[in-house]
Parts: sequence; C-alpha cells; structure tokens
Amino acid sequence: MIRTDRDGLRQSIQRQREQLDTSHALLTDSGTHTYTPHEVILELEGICLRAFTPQQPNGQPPLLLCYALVNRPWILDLAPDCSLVNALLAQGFSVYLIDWGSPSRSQQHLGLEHYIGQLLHQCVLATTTHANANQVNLIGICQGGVFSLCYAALHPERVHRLITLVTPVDFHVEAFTLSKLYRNTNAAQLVAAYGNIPGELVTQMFTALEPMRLGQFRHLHTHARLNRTRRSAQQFLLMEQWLQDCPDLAGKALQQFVQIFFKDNSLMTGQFRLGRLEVDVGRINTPVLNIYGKQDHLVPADASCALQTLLPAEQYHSLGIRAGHIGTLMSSRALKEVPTAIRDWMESIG
Amino acid sequence: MSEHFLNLLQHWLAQLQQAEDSTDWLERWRSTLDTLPQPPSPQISDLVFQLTRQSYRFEQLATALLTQDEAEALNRDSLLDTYRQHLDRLCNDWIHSSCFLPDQLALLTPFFTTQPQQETDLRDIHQQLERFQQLSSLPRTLLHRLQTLISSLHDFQQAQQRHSGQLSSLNHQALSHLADNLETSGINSVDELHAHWVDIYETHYSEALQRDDFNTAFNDLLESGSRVRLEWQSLINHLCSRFGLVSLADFDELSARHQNLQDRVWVLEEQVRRLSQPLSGNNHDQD
Repeated sequence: MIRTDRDGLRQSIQRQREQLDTSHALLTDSGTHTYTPHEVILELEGICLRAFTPQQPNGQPPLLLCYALVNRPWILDLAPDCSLVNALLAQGFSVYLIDWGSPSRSQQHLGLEHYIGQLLHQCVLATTTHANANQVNLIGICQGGVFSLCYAALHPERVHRLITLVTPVDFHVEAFTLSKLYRNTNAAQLVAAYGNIPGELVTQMFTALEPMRLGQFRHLHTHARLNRTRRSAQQFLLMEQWLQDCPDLAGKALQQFVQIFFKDNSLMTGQFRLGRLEVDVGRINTPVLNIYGKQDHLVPADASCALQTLLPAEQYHSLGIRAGHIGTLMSSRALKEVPTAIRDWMESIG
Repeated sequence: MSEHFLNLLQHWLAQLQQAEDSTDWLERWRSTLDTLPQPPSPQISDLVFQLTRQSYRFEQLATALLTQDEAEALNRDSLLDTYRQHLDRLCNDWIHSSCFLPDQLALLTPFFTTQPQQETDLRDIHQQLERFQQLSSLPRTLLHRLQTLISSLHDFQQAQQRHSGQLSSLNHQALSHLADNLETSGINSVDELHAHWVDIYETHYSEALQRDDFNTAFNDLLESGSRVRLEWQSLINHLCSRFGLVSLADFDELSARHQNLQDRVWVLEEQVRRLSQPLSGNNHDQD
C-alpha cells in the first residue's frame, strides 16, 4: 500500500485549478517579439543581417553573431531585459546578427558550401563594410559555431577573434544523445521525402531527447509561471513561441551536416570537404574562446571542450557556464557572465 | 492553422464540457479562445491546445487518484493501472502527433485500424486492387504505385506499433520503480508526485536511448513514415505527368539545376576575382 496525504492532494489540485482560472487572461496579452532597434544591412536569398549600434562603442572590431539553421536567432534578443544582443551592446560592441530565414522548396539544394562559403562570407563582408573594419569578431552559436569554425579555417584573414558558444566539436562523445539519434537516421530518405526537413519534425527530434520533461512536465507547470508577474508571463510565452518556431531546414545542408559532422565526426579529423570547399581546421590562426554549458543536455560539455584538442594550447581559452543549452545563451547568470567574459578576454589578449 | 484549427479546438472543448461536469477554469479557457487576436498565431493556438489538454488530462488523473483514496492509502496495483492509462494516452498523443504522413493521408488516419493489418489482410487488399485493375482501365503502373503505397502504410503502422510497444514497456518499468519509491515516501502532493515521476521516467528513458533496439524502433518509425510520404508523392507525380501537369518532381529537378548554375557562377566569379587581383595590385582578399 502507498500512504497518501488526502488533504495535501486536494490542496494541490485546488491550487492547479486556481492557477488555471487566473492564467487564461495572460494568454490574450502575450505580445509578439520585436527586436531591439536595428538596421537591416543585407537581405540575400532569404537571409537577413541586422546591425545593432552601441551607445558607447568600445573600439573593437564588429561582433558578428552566427546562429544555427535550427530555430530562430531572436532567442538572442528575446526581450529588452533578456537579451544577449543588448548585453553585448552594453559592453560597447557593435553587434551584427544573421537570420538564416526559412528556405523555400526551391532552396532545398542549398548546401553547406553555399551557406558557409557564400552566405556567411557575404555577411562578413557586409559587416566589415558597414563597420568600416577589415575583420570581424565572429561568434558562432551551436550549429552556427560549427559554421564559424569552418569559416575561420577557410578565411582566417577575415576573423579577428573567434568565440564558439555551446558548439559541438566531437560528435561522437558518449553523452551526445542527439548525435546518436541523427547518426542512425536515414537522412537521404528524409530529404527525398520532404525536400526541406520540416521544422516541426526537427522540434520533435529535440523533444524526443527528454519527452516527459520537455513536453508534459513543462506544460503542466505553465500555469504557475503565468501567474507570477506580467513580465515573467510575457517572457515565458515568448519563449514558448520561440521553441515552436523552428524553420524548415534546407534538405541538402541537413543531409551534409548529418554525414560530415554527426556520422563522420569530421571536425575531429581536422581536414574535410564541404562540397567543393576544403576545410583545414589547422588554418585557424586566431585565439578562440569556447563557451559551453556545464549542464547542457543537448550539446554536452565534453562534445564542446574537444575543441581544445584541435588547437594549440596558447590559442584555446574556455569558459563553462553553470547552465543548460539555452540557459548559456539567455539565463540571467549567462547574461551577466558571458558578455563581460568576452570583453575581458578580448582586452586581455589585445 | 488557424481558423480550421480553432474551430476544431472549440468543438473539442465543447465536447469536453458536455462529457464532464463543467468547471470554471474550462469555461474561462474556452472564452479565452474567443478573445485571442484573429487569426491567432499558430504558436498561441498550440499553446492553448497543449495547456487545456495536458491540464485536463492531469486533472483526470489526480481525480482518479483521489477517488481511490478513500482509505487514505492507495493499492499499488490501482495506482499503476491509473497511471498506466494516463501514460498510454500520452504515448498515443506522441505517436500520432508526428508529422510523418502527408496531410491527405493523415486526414484518413481515424479510419485506419488501430492494430496493424495482418499480412493476409494486406494480400487481400493487393488482390482486390488487381481485380479492380483487370475490370477497369486502370493502368498497371498506377496499380503498382498504389500497391507500393499501401505496403508502405502497412510498414508504417507496424513501426508505430513497435515503437508504441517499446514506450509501453518503458512506462511499465518506470512505473514499477515509481511505485517502489512511493511505498516508502507516500504521496503528499500532486506536484511532488509529478516531479518525482518525471525524474524516474527520464532516467529510464535515457537508458533506453542507449539501447540499439529502442533506437532501431524509433528510426524505423521515422524511416517508414518518410517512405509513405515518398510513395505518396511518387503517386501524385505519376498522376501529374499522365495528365500533362508539372509535378513536384519536375519542380525539384529545375530547382536543382538552378542551384547548380548558381554555384557555377559563384566559382567563375571567384576565378575572375582572383585573376583580377594581380592586375589591380591589391594583395588583400577582396572577395
């Protein structure tokens, strides 16, 4: 037999009812996301490059944020008081943010060589032109970090400093569950069936990592979050919108990414091909700051820290944040630690 | 999503209210739907849907627990049964919410049997199609495509069943573990119970993710689902070409050629740039 606290159970059900009762109104006032004031300086093949100007520039080369193809970059500027972009502006950086957009059906043949060799390169050129600089400080986030490593190897002359945030490098570490799921996937058939891989399917793959915690548990506890403060509710709802707002992925790029990185673990080999481009990680000659989440269940710390085995010791620096994958980008702890660490690191290495 | 979805949701909520004693929160949430901006964003619609569905289901579970709680103690088997029903519904939601099937086929899923068809049933369907083809002017190529599509649907149903079985077995193990723990700690609040359950479930789930059989069942589901989609599109492409219409396959082929040309232009532009650099005396990479 299992003992039960009958009163306790009744009270907790009553509490749930009350929360449900009062939280409904907040949904009608959820608002929509708007970016911090900025200028769009490049629109090309569906991608968009936004420029954010600091009030007191620190004289550093412009910071170009390269987000992943998965999910939207507005998580980096979720709300005025929950924004990595704002926190970097406050440190005096000129910030540029790439939005890869949503590929149309006719863009399903866009490969990684196109994304990295052409589109990212065009963003770098547009950034340097706009900022009147010769180089960028490149920040790659998650899959965007992989792109940034490739780009820094292809165009070392364009990258002043490289920062990788929650970026997978060794895709075969034991705890990298997402990688295991993708490694067993028949990506070629998925691409043949869908053209571009639907964002909804990608979201389901992520949820499949911790279905109970990321699915049912989160929703059952939503009412409590909605009932705290209006600001907290709005932030929560924006976050919910972001989680469901995954663009479709260009079929060819996904298929290449699964083969080259998830299956072949090519970054760890140091040299590999991206379509017609030859990538040699040894060509990265700039100092690198690798920022990872110590509790990241999506990209485990080990997968990220493997970067140090690819670079000379004096070139590699790292910072672990006590947070998960998203928390490393936008938790209050991260927003306090990450921008300051980036500024201090840049000043310390000159 | 939209209007159709919203109507569906309102209809569903109305059914809920008829089926159960109406509660204040349910009415209020329903009225929320009326006040959402028109058309509501898909994310908001999804969230409302998730919140109402999950909360309603969990309340059902909690109520069931309370009704069993007359003696201030729960029979272990009763608890397991109640929770298992709850979990089966959740697993069912997950399996059937996957966006594997083309919309047109997904609409027909309520008419599919819940158990996968037996091999003999499948053979019967193929024979019926053969007979129909012989009696009509249905082209044989079309018949073959239909047969392939039906076979792929059959495989998909089997894969659903296999994955569902894996999840069910996982639920069983996690539930037994939960019941073992509860025999020591008891149940004091629904929140605690649920948090405890999630921890236990995720531990078992992450162990399952390390197993080949579990991953194989999951990948079979993905693969057989995409196979259905592929066969369906192949059938549509075939029909389009028979009627002289441009098919999606034609469109995709043109897109691929366009992309190849674009990449070729890029290569040529780079070559021109490289050749022109010595002429302009510029040593920097201008790209």
